[in-house]
Amino acid sequence: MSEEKEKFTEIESEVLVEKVRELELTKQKAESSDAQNLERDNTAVILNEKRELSEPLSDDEAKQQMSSRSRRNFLIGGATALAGIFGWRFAAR
Amino acid sequence: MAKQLEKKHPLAVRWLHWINFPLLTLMIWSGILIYWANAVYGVKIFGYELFHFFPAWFYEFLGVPFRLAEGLQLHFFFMWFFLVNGIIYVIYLIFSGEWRAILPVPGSFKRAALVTLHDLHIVRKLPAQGKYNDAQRIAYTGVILMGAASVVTGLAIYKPLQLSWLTSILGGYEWARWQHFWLMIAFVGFFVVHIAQVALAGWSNFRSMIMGYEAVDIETKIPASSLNDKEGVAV
Repeated sequence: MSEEKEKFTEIESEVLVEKVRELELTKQKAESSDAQNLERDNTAVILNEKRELSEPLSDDEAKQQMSSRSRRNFLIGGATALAGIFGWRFAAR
Repeated sequence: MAKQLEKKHPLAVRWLHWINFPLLTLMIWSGILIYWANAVYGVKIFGYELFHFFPAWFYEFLGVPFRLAEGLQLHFFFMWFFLVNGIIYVIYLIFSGEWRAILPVPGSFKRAALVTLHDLHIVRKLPAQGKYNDAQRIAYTGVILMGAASVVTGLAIYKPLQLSWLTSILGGYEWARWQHFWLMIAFVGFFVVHIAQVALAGWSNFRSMIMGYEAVDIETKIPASSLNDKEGVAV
């Protein structure tokens, strides 16, 4: 009786494992199909647009780099704008 | 949370964009100075004029009247800078591969509609995108075509005798002037929407148009196919 029960449990667990495998496979297929659809529906992917990313940075490093670039570029932009305004005023005179 | 700096706008694009901003403003302003002298357009339905371009108070408020000669001088001087800036931009887009970021594909129109619905808070899901969404792609490509059309229609009314063939293609002087005017209105419409969207997108987005970079969270899902092999890091 006990042997029969053991055999039954073994078969049951095998069936369960098989079912889990099937479910995993279905899930994987659905995910990969979703990803494929997402890629197909993305103009950037269709046109092979590149993304340029730096090496991973810590929060502080990122903040520091952004601040320094920001300061430099805003200064250049501000100086150019002022040159434009004064150039215009000079030309208008 | 770790971050990466993403290069959003190349140096050339930033310079050309910011040079174009005062140039386009000047072209519109001087165009209004010229248009005042023969302000004939309006929005009409069944012969009834709903709106006349422009009401008297508009001209008075901006100090437009009797500045035709000044308008012509400014328009004919700065149009060459506008043209050259536009040509350099298009050449840069083609040779740098940046066109991949702004060109729409046929499917873009459907996705642009979804983006619009998302922006209006009608749908939740935003379609997948690269640097720009599909509505932006259509707008940014459209505005280049508008710039080209403005130059062509402008030349047709600037030299209607020497370029009579061009003026004829556009339907004659009056039609070319009409097209030139409505292109200006479209530019103003683009400008208003562009500024509104920039304000909604926030400081980080605006700053990236000055400094070129934006800090992004490293957890951002990056499609492997859209990564640059040299600098990209798949997460």
